[in-house]
Amino acid sequence: MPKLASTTATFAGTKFTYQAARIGDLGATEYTLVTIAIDMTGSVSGFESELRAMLIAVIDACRRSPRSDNLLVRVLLFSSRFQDVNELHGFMPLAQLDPASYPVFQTGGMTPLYDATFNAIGATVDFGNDLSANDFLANGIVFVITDGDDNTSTATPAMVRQLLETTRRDERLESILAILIGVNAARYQAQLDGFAREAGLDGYRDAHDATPQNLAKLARFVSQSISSTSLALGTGGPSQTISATI
Amino acid sequence: MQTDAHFIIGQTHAAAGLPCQDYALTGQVTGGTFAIVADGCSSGGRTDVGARLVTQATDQALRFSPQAVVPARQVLMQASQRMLNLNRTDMLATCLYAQTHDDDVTVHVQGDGVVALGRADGQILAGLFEWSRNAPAYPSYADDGFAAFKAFYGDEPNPLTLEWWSVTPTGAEYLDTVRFGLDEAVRGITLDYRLAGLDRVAVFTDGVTQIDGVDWTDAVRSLLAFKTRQGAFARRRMNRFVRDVSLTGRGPLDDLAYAVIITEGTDHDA
Repeated sequence: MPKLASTTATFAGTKFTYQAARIGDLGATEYTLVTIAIDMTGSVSGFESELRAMLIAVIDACRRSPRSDNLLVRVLLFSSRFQDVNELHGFMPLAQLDPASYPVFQTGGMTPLYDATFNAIGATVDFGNDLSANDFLANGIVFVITDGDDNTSTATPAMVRQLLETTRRDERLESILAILIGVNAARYQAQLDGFAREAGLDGYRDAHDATPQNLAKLARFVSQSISSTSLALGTGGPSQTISATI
Repeated sequence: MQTDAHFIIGQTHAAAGLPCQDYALTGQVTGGTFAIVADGCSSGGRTDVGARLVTQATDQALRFSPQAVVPARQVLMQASQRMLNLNRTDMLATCLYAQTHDDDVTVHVQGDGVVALGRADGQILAGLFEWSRNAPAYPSYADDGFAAFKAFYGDEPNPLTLEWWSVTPTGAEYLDTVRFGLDEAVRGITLDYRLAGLDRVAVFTDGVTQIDGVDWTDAVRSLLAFKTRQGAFARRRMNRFVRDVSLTGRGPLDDLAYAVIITEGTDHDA
């Protein structure tokens, strides 16, 4: 994979690190920053390969989009096993991705859901602001896919909300959407709904059980949402309420 | 050296359902780079095609006949017009280009528009070419030796003026006006400079002087204030500039094109 630039940013006293393509290497004038954060905690054991297949399906679908040249994609895995998040790769042009080389997912550890959400949104905002400062037009969409509630974060829902509200007031990033998705998470519906509400996310969607069919639907939802968001770039606001459903 | 160019349609043409009649491109040759813009006559024929042809003909002339660009371009334009069965009115377009070679830069203007020479200290020397009757000399008028064009201007002694301004990060100061006689003006004006001390050279179509509510010197300053100088830096800058002015309901009334050569300096302007 090509060399990416590593950045450490801070928001509300909390640091997070991410990698991204060098701005000088980018060929388009506008980008949608896509982040997919996937739960790799112990409870995901048993369907981690299906989640990997879902991720690859999303990447492949995005490659077929007419807006594929205007997407930068970051993929990260989260679990208390990792010091921060495990970034499979930072924000990279689709053409440079090789999803077949994504490692086999290993599960274990507890669920730093709030930390992962904060990192995913924070990196999107920070890099988006950097792009904007360099005359690029940028918007962002973040997907956080989990099977359970948080049990080990230092970040809080209030911090995530503050980050989103600050970003939306600032308007350097044209828009940002953050969607929480539950897989095999029926028993945590109330907690995940509550987190999405408290954190000011753009909703919680239940993808139901982790069957191949449901995860295929999830892949379609994610890729269609990315496409809608990318098409909205330049209109001054987020995409219309994402009409795709899981 | 980095180069980039961009052009956009103005509000007038967009509202009338007309195509953009400006065009711009840049290129590199052994020992140098070039930047070209062209502006098709609004009252001409298919001058969107003409502007692209004159730009492309200039490109080829710069590559293959650098010592005699204008005559080579004329040959290419006439051949293109005949082969593509275009009318004389389709070929009416101005053309400005800048060409670096070793330690020098040459700017050539046939028609009207703006040339800009930027220094690393932020100062821009900007020159506005205007014709007294708003009827510029198009390269294609050479097909009759500019006879009809000269007859139009009659005895007017100095129909072409070049107004020089110093544009700084905080303002603009008028410097001088140079006047050109008809015979010299129709052949095109050539300006030569040393590259030392310059970090940007740009040519603009006259659309840069027709941005609603924005003085042309302010537009030049904004359009040359690149955040980075890599990739599509000029295209991004113009896109951002147009978005910013449109926030107040303003924008380019006429089509606008510019082409830029970055000669040296740091990666960031601002």
